[in-house]
Amino acid sequence: MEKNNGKKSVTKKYLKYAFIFLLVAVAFWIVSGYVKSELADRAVVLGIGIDYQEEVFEVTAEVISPGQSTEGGSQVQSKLLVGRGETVPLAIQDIYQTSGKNPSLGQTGFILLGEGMKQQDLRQVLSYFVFSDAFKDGVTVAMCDGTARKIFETTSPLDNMISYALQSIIQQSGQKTNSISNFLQNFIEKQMMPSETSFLSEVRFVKELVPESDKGESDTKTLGVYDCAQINIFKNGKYTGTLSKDETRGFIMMDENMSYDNFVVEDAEGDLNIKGKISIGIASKDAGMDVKMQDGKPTVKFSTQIKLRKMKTDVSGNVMDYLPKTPDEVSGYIKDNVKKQVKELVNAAIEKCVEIDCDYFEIANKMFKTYGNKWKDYQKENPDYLQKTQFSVEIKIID
Amino acid sequence: MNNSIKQTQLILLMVLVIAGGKFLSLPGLMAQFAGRDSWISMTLLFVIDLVCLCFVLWAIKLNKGKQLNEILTDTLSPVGAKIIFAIYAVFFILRIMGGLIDTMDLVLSSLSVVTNWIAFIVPMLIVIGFNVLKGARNVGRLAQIFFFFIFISVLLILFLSYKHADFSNLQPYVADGFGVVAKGALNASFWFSDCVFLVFLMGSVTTNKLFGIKISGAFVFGAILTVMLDIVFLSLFGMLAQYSTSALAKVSGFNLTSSSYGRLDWIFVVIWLSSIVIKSILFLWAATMSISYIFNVKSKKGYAIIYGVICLAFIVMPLILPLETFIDDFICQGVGKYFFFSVQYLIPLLLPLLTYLSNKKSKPQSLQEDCDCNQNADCMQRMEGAATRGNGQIEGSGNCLCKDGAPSDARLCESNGKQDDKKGLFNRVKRLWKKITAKKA
Repeated sequence: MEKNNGKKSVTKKYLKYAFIFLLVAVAFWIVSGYVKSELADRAVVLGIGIDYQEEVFEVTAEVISPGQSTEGGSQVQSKLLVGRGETVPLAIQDIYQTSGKNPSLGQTGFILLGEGMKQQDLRQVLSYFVFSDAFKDGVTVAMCDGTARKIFETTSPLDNMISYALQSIIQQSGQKTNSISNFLQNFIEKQMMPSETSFLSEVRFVKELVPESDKGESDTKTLGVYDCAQINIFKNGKYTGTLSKDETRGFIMMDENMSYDNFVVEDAEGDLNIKGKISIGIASKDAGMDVKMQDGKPTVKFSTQIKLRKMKTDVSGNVMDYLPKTPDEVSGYIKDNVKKQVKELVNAAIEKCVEIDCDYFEIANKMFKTYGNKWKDYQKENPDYLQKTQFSVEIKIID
Repeated sequence: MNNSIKQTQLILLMVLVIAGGKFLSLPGLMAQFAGRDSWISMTLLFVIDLVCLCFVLWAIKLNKGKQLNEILTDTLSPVGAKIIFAIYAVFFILRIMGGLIDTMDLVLSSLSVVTNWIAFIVPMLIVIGFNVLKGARNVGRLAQIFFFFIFISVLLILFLSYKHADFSNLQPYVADGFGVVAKGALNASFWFSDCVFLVFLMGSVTTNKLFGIKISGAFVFGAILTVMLDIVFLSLFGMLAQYSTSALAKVSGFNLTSSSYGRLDWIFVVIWLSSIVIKSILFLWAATMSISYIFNVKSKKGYAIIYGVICLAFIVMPLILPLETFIDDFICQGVGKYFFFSVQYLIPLLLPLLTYLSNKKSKPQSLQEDCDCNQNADCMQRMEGAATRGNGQIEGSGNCLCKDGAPSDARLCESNGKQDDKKGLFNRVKRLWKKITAKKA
């Protein structure tokens, strides 16, 4: 009996060891199934520039490069990696192959397309990013004058990472300036909706606006600033035209999102009751578009309510709504003058929309949402519906 | 296994199970079938599920402590019951298998983890297995621990995305006719009917007056949350929704566009993933129970063997079969879905009738009618000769006592209560004392 018990306890003991060994073996086996991905093997990409030249795509990636500052502390800088290929994925793969670093696109916040990309169907090119779960759909997309690589080789006086600089100019300060931004998912989606049209901001590098004394500070990159006040229009993924600065302002004026703009009114009374050129800014804006089918024709009524303020250092469109009501600061003359200017800008944008036959106001989208398949049939029968559309503009200046 | 579960735990489980796992490939899949109206298809399926849930709750109310296998064996014959349990087992296993494949895709794409199926599933199965073998009570506790965090992360994902959402993307409503909406609902039906897990808790849940309302309320809350997330997803992605493979990765990735903030959304995704683990535990527990009923297994060792076999299927099947294609083509869009309708809709709808018939079958042993008490014929639920089951329930019959302490004329009764079944010396002495005083009286 005792012998049996002893045998049992020994077996139990061995079983215990066997179980522990099995656990360790399984743990090793599981761990070996995970592919090592060291941070040092990765290149964290902040922004991508895509160019198309001589039937080859060139991707310029701005990557984070940790380094040491002259004062001893660590400093984060950016470096450029370039890859070429027949397609965008191959060009990105080329970066991996030539640099030995795996481009990690999960942190990418900006895509800049070179002028050469105007020949491409952007739906096809950008679908690589938009249908990938690991890539952020909200990244800002813009197009530039010249090559994207050239823009990436420049730097702004305040921000040495070009992706951050452009993101901040186009996207973040867009509500406080008169520039407008678009993001990846919205751009592709709008191309697939009944209007089939969307836009991208145009980035222009302006070297002249930086004083000569500052230019010596950056050793490798050209110093300058970026003008993003114009937009490029795309229909069915293809480039169709560029709006002038005034047309862009007219388009932004009718955009439902908050945006800022300013106007110069001549011979108006300033704060000291002295006549001259004065600057007026938009404090708040409420824009909208009404669409209707009248007598078998589409009619579109643009309306906007604008609150104006004379420009002072503390005028900021974003916070005005939360401030107590201030007394009427702008005279009837100023209001009429601004109203006239806004109307001209909006009409210019409408005329361009009809001229290049690009529905960037998204009239067809709104019509489809209102009339459903009835509008789809109308659009099919009347592909030139913009020519037949009756436009009207109503501008209200409120206190 | 300890399968007795508290009402609060059940309520939290209901919310987690309804919402958990429905934000992976399902919104994209439904958008493929019903486009921008897929949220209506989803609502329709939830309404049907709610009706089924009401029938299940009715059955639970009618039930007198019997478990599902007893009810089905009583009414559909042992063979019929075993067939139903086999379908249930396949249903639960395929649901979780599909869900975990999607989860792996989400983990790979959002957390940039490069791994293979085995290295992903084995640790998951170990965690799930530990909880499955502990029983339903353990899942309930997990729900209590994790609910708050999961709920907060779902809300954060919802509200962070809300400001970017263009709700006019849902218009025009039902433009392509209701047929498209119905087709979308039909093709996605396999991914619904989550509340059927409740039938496996029959006989293990303590009910009170508001039990039905609370559970239905939890279901409605979970359904509203899921539909809201689907609406936000459709509003954000419009025409592109149908191309998405993982709605959660898409929506969370959308939230933070500025790289200076990093990918804070990943934290929410990871927390939210724990709801899938909880759902997997619950469904695999139900699958284990189904198989144990088929083979009449009652020991813990037996449950462990069954779970081991399920694990093997989980590891091997996705490697040798194109499982995702099979689920999409044969079940969702093919005839396979009708096969599962029997356990998704037919059994829940018939359950009150089956429970009634089962109760009727064992009526001669019924508690209430055999006791001749002065007040309500309500018996003390502890009898001589009654055995106690592993889950704390009383099985068998014995002499009964009335609530007022008076002896009953009846000699046999069956118990469904537990209040007098407490273990411990004090309770045993108390019971004995009651019995003696009752006999004296």
